[in-house]
Formats: sequence, C-alpha cells, structure tokens
Amino acid sequence: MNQSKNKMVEKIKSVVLVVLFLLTILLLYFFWEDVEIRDFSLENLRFSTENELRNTVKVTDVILPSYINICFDNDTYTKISNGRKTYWNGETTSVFKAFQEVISSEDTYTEEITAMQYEEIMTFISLRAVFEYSLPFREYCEFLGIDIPPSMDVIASIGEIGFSTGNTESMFLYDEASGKYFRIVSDFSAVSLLEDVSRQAASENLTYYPLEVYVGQDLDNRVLVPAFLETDLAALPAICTFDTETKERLEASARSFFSGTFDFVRKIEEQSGKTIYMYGYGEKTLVIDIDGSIEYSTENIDGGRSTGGGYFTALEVALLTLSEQRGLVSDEDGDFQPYLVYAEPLAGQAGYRFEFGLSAGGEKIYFESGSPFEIEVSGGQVTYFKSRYLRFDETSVHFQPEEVYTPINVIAMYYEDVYRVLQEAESGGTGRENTADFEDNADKRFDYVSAAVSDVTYGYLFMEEEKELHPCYILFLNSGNLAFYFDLYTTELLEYNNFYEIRRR
Amino acid sequence: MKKAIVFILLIMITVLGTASIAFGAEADPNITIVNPVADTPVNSTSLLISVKIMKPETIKVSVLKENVTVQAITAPDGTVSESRVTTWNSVFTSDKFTTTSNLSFYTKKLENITLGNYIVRVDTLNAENKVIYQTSRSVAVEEKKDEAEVFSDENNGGVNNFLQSLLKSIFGN
Repeated sequence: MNQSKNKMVEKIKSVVLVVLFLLTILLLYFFWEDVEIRDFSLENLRFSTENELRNTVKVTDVILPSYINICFDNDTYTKISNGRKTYWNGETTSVFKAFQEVISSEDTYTEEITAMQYEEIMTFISLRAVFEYSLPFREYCEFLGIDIPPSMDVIASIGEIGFSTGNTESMFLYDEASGKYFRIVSDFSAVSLLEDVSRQAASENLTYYPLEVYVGQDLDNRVLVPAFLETDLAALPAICTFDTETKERLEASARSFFSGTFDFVRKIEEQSGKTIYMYGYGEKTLVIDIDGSIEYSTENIDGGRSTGGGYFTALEVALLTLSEQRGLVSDEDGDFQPYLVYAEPLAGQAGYRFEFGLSAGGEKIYFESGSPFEIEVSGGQVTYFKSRYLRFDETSVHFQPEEVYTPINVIAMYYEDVYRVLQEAESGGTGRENTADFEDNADKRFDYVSAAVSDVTYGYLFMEEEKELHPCYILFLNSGNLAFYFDLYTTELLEYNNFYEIRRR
Repeated sequence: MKKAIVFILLIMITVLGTASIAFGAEADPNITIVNPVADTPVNSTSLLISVKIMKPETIKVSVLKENVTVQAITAPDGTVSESRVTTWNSVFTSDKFTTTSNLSFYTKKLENITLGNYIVRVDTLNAENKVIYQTSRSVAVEEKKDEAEVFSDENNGGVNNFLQSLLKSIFGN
C-alpha cells in the first residue's frame, strides 16, 4: 500500500515538474517577445506558415546569371536579360540542370584552355551564362549538394558557364577570380539544350552584334549591342516616402533589428523627420529617413574575424533579413523579386557584402545612389543594412512601342562626357593607360571609351526629385563600376554612378 | 567590220560600266564603312552595315548585288565566244540619314542575304541632294566552311577519363 502511494506521489511530482518547465518557457517567451499576456494567442507559437515560407527569398531565386548571350549559326547573337530565369531553370530549357549534370557526372575530365580557344569555341552555336557578381565554385557545388572531384579544385569561381555545338561533350567555364578558362568533359551532351535554347531565343529576342563590329575596333570586352531597339517602357510615378500605414510597420521592423525589443534602445526623432534608434553607446544604430532610406549598422561582435559559415551562409542571412524587411522595401502585395547585383568578401574583415537590385514589370530599376539594397554579413550576423523604400504601379509599365536611338549612337553622342568621368575615376591610381596622348585626338578618346564599355542595357532609373521611374539606357564601364544613365527616348544624359566610391564606404 | 566594232564596244561597256559602279566619285574622307570589314567574306544570311560618320552630313546607303550574265558573241571570223556582262542590282536603298553631330553611326541589318558579291555604297549628299562623294566597299557572301575542331576528341571517352581522374585524385594536379 505504501509502495503504491509513493509511486503516485512520484508521478505527481514528475507532472508538476513538466508543467513548471513549460510555464518557464512560456514566461521567457513573454519576456523576450515583449508580448502582453492579454495579447497572447497559441497562434503566436506556431511554425511559419507555408505562405510566410513562400515569401522568404531563397538563394536559388537570386543565384541567376546576370544575362545569357546566345550565338546563332549565322554569326548573329542575342542577349537574354529580363527573361533569363526561364532559360537558366525553365520548363523547356535549363542551363542550371545541364550544369548540375556535368558537375555530378561520375567520369569527368577538367582541363585549362586558353582564352583564344574559349572565344573560338563560342563562335559556334553557343550560349554563355554570365555572372557579374562573385560566385565561388566549390561552395556553390557544396550548396547544391554535389561532391566535386579534386580535379575541379583548380576552379575558384564562376564568371561564365558556356555550352557550344563546337564540342557538345564539354561545359566551358570562365573563372573570374583567376582569369582562367576551363572545359569540363563529361558524358552529358549539350545538343538538345543548345537546340532548344537557340530555337526559343531566335523566336522571341532582338538581334545583337558585338560592339567591336559597330566601331571597327578589337575590344577585350565582349559587349553585345542591339542593331536597333523598339521599346514600350512608360515613365512610372513612384513614391519613396513612408505613408501612415508604412510608419506603423516601421516600428515593428525597427524592433527586429534589436533582437525584437527596445530594451536599452534610445529613440531620437529629429526635426527634419529623421528617426534614429541607438542601442547602448552606438553599438547598434538604425536611421530611418524621410526620403525612404533605412540604414542599420552594428559593430561586429567578434571583430570581423569569423565569416560565420562562408558565402552561402552569409547569403542566406542576408536574404532572410531582406525578406523580413520586405514590407519596408516595396508594396507588400507587390511581386518582390530582388536579384543579386554584387557579392564580394569584405575588405579588411571576414564576411561578405551583397547588393541586390529591384525590378518593375520585369525591367530592372537603377538608383542614383547605387543599389537599392546593400547588406553586409560578418560572423553570421548582419552588420550593415541599407534599403530604399519604393512603391509604384507595376501594371502601367508598358505602353505604345516605338523605335528609339540605337545604343551605338548614344555612345557616339556622349563619349566626351563619359571620357571625362572615366579619367576622373581612374585618376586615383587605377588608370589603364596614359590618357595624356588623347587630349587632341577625338578618335583615340572614342576608342578609349569603347574599350572600357562592359555592358549596354536599358531599364528604369528612379529619379527622386521627379518621383518617377524613368525609362533609360544604362551604359556600364570598367566591369560595371561606372554607370551612365541616358533617357531612352531623347538620349539626354540623366545621371551617372561611380560605384568605386560607393563600395569603398 | 561592223560586227567587230560592236564586239569591241560591248567589251568596253562591260569594263567601264563595272568600273563606274565600283569606283564612281571620290570617297568621303569623313565616312568609314566599318562593317562589312574589308577583304573579309561574310558567312551568314544576315549582314550588318555599320557606317561611321565623322561630320554633320546627309548620306544615303545602298547595297548592290552582282549579277553576271553570259552572252554569246559571234566574231567576224565566225568563232563564237562568251561575253560576261556584269550588272549590279539594288537589293537595298536607305532613306536619307542626316546627322548633326561630329560622330555618329548609321547601322542597318539586312536579312536573307544570298551568296554572291555585293557592294555597299554610301552616297554623301549636299543641300541640293546631289551626290558629292561616294564611298564603297565590296564584300563576298560565301558558304560557311566546315569549322576546324578546336579540341581533339582524345580526351573524351569513359576509360580515358576514368584513368585520368583516378591518377589526378591519387597524385593531385
């Protein structure tokens, strides 16, 4: 009898311990989340819903080529920019799947080839997926769950991935980090991929030619330029200031930068309308300005010694933060499609800097101040975050199509202005040539500018004073470190960006 | 005698006619036909014309295709010989293109170009629309030759790849 009574007491004690333990967790939740008891709901404890998970931007959504160049069999080309996702990993064509198949083949052979061989093989029917941001090769394969053989250790990064009818058993790769070219031979055949890609691209895209064909000059950069351009982009009104509804979300968003609580955080509201949140003596600072910009910075807790897991771990942290702040970036109901513009290790400390771009109706948006989203990750945490709020009506992007000035004539009209800016940017010791000889030679100045061009494209420029997204040509020079924006219809030079200075912050 | 004179005249017309098409007036020093490139055949069914204009001018661009017909001519002594008569047929003529800057480009893409010899001609016009300069370039559109292999196939094949991969994994690169 006593034994059974003791057993019962022990059982009751166990139950009480479990209940106390659960209550402790619940009370800790109230404390950390700063939730009133009357506001508590079991819904708060649920895992993220499918909808919330769907709203998180994934790594595979942003690791896309910046554009894909396709060479047809009649020495013409096309360039896929806005629709690159359907070629990279679409239903009918998937360069991504081909890449995976080659890398994961059991028998592969990797050899270094020359730049000349690479360019020669690409004169056949071919495609080149170009990545303008840093993408480490081994880490990318590991992220995809593919074990690569030691022979591929020579490849440091992915600058371009190519396939060609000149050698359908090979995948060609340009390693931007080392400046070397490789081919990887496997049992994958690119015949049907190239047939599908060239057929699809021929039916839906403009014809391009290399810039050197237009200007009659041998150029190191392979820049494709359309022979003519017809476009239907309309100027769009855009709002960059926070409205009442957005301001309510601002408070919750600001809290998320300080681990969900404003304990030990001072809030300073300036007369200009700027709001500053400061933790401690400035260890963490968040500035929300009336022009729609949000800027957060923090000291690195381990002094910037640890990357916190490498490129893809840092990218996931960056994307999670971007997704969490989505409501402050654009209209929450809108289609939020950021794309990776820049990715490099941080200078002087472990970690990475990522820059993301934004689109309207499939067309890229460019900002006078640089990329709309800048995120630095070090030691597994976001140490710097900057974004611009922007709201616009995406349904009004397209209107009556019309033919516009050709890009080559835009360069011809403004090469003197571009030359002056190029000289100033390069005068800081990164000059490519002695430009003194070009002062009295207009031809040489034009050739100098042509040789510096790294891309010509079109899209939107956000013009803050006019509060609109303005259709424009964008001319990139020096591997994208300089950008010039020209009105798409009048060719007026609107603005230029020197990313050298912005990224040296 | 009359037949001999006709025969000689036909030869002269053929030669001079070709020359007048090919050479015409003086070339414009401010015009450069960038593409098609000189002395480089085109192996494509499309042709990009790129003309660099280095002064405010008005131009007109035309593309002519060579058409060779063979005529039989009977000489006074009764022998029959062939005479090749070359004419140039226009395949494209542009509208007037006027530029007001010191550097601009005229570009045009022609599609469905057939094999043969072509002349790209740029006429510089004055205010009265008279041709004051004529800049020309000949180009041959030819069949694309079989391209030489860039890489040999010796490194394809499973056994060879396997052995090389195995050796590399043991000994490194």
